[in-house]
Amino acid sequence: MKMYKETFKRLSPIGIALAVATLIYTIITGGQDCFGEYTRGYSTTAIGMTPVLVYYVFTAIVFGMYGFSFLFQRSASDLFHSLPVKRTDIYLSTTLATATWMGGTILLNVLVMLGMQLVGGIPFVPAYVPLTILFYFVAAMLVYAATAIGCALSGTFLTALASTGVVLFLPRFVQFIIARGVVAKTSIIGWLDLGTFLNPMSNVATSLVVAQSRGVYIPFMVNLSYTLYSLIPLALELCLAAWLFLRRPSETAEHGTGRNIWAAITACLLAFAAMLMITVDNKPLISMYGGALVAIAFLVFVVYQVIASRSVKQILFSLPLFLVSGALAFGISLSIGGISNSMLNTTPKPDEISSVTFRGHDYRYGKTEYTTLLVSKIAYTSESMKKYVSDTLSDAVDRVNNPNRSSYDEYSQYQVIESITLKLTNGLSIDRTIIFKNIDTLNELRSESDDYQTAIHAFPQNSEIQSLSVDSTFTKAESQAIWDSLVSESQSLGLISNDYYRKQTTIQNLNNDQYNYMRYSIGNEQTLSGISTDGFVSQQRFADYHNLRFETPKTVKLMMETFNKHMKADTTARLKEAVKHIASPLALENDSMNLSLTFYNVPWTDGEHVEIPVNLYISGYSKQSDTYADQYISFMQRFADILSRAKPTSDPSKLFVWLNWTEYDSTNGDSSNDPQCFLSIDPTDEQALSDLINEYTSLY
Amino acid sequence: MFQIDRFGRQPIYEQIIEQTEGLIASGALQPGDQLPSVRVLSQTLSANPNTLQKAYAELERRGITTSVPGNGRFVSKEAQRLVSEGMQAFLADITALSAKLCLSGVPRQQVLGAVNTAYDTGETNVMKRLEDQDNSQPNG
Amino acid sequence: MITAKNLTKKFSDVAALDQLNCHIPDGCVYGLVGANGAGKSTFLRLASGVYRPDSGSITLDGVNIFENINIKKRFAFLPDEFWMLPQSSMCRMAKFYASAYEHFDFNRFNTLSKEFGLKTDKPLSTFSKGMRRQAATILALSTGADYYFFDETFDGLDPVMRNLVKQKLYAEVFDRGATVIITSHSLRELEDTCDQLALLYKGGVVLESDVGDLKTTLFKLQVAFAGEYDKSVFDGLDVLNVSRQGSVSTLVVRGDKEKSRALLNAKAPLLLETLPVTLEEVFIYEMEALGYAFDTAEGGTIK
Repeated sequence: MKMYKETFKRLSPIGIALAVATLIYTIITGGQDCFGEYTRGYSTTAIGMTPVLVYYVFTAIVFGMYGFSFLFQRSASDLFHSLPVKRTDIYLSTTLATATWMGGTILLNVLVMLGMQLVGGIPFVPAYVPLTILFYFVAAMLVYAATAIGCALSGTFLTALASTGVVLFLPRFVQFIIARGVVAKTSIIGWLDLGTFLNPMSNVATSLVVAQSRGVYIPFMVNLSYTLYSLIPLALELCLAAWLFLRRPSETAEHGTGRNIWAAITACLLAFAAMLMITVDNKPLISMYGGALVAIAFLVFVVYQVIASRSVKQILFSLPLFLVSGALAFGISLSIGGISNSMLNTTPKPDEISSVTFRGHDYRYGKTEYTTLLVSKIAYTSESMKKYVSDTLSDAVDRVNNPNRSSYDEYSQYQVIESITLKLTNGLSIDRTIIFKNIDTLNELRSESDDYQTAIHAFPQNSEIQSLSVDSTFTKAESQAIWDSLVSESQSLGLISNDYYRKQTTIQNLNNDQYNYMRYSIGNEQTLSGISTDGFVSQQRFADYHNLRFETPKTVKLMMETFNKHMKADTTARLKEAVKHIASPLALENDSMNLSLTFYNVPWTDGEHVEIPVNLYISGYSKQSDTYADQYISFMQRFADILSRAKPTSDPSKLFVWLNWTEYDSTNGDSSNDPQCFLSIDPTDEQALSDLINEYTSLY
Repeated sequence: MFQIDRFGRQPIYEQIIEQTEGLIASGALQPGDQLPSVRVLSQTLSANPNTLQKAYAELERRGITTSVPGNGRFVSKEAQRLVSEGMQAFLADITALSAKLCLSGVPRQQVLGAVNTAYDTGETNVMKRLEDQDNSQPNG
Repeated sequence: MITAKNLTKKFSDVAALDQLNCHIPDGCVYGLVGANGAGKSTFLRLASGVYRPDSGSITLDGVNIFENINIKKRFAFLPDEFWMLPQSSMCRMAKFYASAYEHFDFNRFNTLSKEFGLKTDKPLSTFSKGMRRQAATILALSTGADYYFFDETFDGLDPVMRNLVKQKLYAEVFDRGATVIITSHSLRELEDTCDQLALLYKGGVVLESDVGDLKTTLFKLQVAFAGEYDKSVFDGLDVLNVSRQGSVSTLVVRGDKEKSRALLNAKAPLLLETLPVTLEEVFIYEMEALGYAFDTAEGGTIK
């Protein structure tokens, strides 16, 4: 099609400029991730792969406006319409030319990123590549379709822009407002619990905007079902734009919006959107805030029509439409209340529930723990579980309906918030996020399922892990060795891999014991470092931090050995010097010394062996300002002295210390951060150490 | 060949017809001479070919020109006779003009003198034109 | 033949064209004249398929023009304000036209550009208004169209260029039987160029005629008789207007000039003279005959 080639050429200044700009951005940021100093060790989310495309998608407005720019100038519009080209061909060639430029740019960006990741050896999820390309392409075309509709309805650039805004954002904005209201009013329905109709993420174009303010969505945005669903509004909008374009009289150019009715309607919708803002903070309509919003909405209503139709008579005649805006806004806020109530008060009885699923307990960072991912796949059908969940849900609903129930009194230190899905016997399913009063009770009920037992004892497979790290000084092989040891030892001992699914009362009780608040862990609960794992199970991301506890002594020993392999032989001597320096009057204001010690297997009064942390910090400045400075220095000196006679150890059964110190010495102009190490105390110092520790714990 | 006054009040169509007749009457155009084609005339005069076509058609209707399909337009054999007959009409104009002059009080001798002047210079011009034609091709 | 039948076009409830009827035969140079705002541009746009008629029809050989690609590919429209692609040159615009007109002739384009002395690779923004007009004309002439619609084309062209453009148009008309439709608010200009004229007034065509006919069938006679006489002496003549001063009457007559003169001569006038008449006068008298009164002393206020 010749017109297509011509339009493609006509759009080329924009197409090329944006393609180059996005590629440069992708190469620079991607290059940093893949080849720079701190390369990414694990795959990004789909959105994170080529983040520049999030903004690029919205340049479809530019393509559309530029491609249809002839509609806004009398002379251009007349010329185009005099050509022996069918209007459908003009429309199609603009659409296809935009699709080519944008699709090509999106493809190029993703492929370049893919290439960099392959060359740099950075892990990625292969399924993301085609998915991302499709996602961004559909989003871009959605924005284009809205622009095409806006241009077809309008005669000037400004009114076209306003119309585009209305088409693109208004429906989703309304949906977003309703969703927000429901989430706020029910408080047991989270953003990810909203059903298909309320979910503002299903339109992939506007989801990009929503996700900016609701970060919880980011990991879930790019998925096949949303993308495929978005094809429906895309097809409809493209057809609508075509139909409007065909019907558009050439004389609309430069005459605002041809039919002033549309100008009035747009003004009405813009005012409606402005007034919807009142539902955002749940403020009452009759208030300063409400009054201000209505005034702003009215201003928008009038000003837009002044720009669009320039006729005072027109504005006066359209005033009733402003009331329509108000009525609509009011209607929406009413419906928010209605929907919220209806959703809130859906409390199925146990016999109405067919199964329960627990989707997860912490969506805030978009990462799930591996075990939780596995647990989320399990459907519980036991009567006891159904009753428990049904009762908990009813209770949660009751709490919302009766705010007089004091949540402070009801607070339990073992309560957790879990997202659940209830599949009902009538075929429907509901998603909620509610408080469970006691995690141990919940876990006990869950333990009745064999699948659950398997899940909580499972560790991520090596093939699923993309990045494994213990400490920055460790090599990959060393980290892998520790991980393998942890996994095999835990599995041989039948340990639960994730703290969340262990019995909480034991752990927390000890920590919260008023008299023993200094004791973080006792006996086998003592914790020594840990391993971070990041990876993917199919397309779901998991991230874990596995605490290394004395319950797996072989691994602890290996950990201690590996740390000590990297230690500086003279680290304790240097420590003593550093303490001497900071204690002396020569220390400048900016000099500082941070001593962090963790003592393990310290004998306690009740006969247990406990983990005691000691943290001391001194700076030249704090020496003058802090009244306890001298105390700290004294402690530092005494600890450093004892440590100077300590020897490296990898025996987790005896008393030992984990040493981690840093200093900043301006005379050297350097900061030292010696690698951490594990030391055993010289027998002659044992008593002195014990006294020192007691003195420290009694003071702090 | 033709001197068209575009800014005069006389339509081009009339000017073409009059000038053709004038050229025939003075002998500048002889029977059998070819008239310029409409196309050439249109380009040189920047005149509407349809208008020129009409003028030529009128000349043909009057019998002053004949057209040979494929060859062009030529002055007919009867042209001179027809033109001079047409010239007779001018005599009536002279009578009318003289009547006007008479009413205005111009003496007869002056009018006759004017006629004589015209004929004196005119005859010279006709001679000159016939000479020029012998030396070069007539063109528009 | 392009035919408009009861053609109506409204803008915001104001009728620019109201039940307009006219006929544009093939192969002619058709001029549409009217005051500013009379609807000339609107008509041209309806004829070239830019606007859709509100009611009535405008057809080529009986087929509606709007959105008919087979018809429009034979049409070239040249608006009064010529739009160019931003930062384009003539060459670029030629390619643009070629994407729409399948018979766009690049050879012709280059030849014409040379003749007019225009550089096809220079940006059009550096061209003067007149040069842009010429460029637009060249582009239109290269489309291979049979029907040219020119809106106020000769404005801004110097006489030399005007002649050159006319020559090109006449060549099209003569060689290819093309039809040229021109609008102008100046009768003077159209008088020389066109062979058909139409006067657009209040949204309709009030006068449509062959140009030659207009000026040959309408003429002024100045006649004087000895002694008394009255209007009856003019019986047998189609007199549009008579004014008398003393014994001299000035008549505006429609008909055959020779026959009319002969008729009067037979009555032995003292004086009989044919006065030339301008096209403007023709129009005024014709309009008066149609019933539109003019007050020419004021400079043409129309009642």
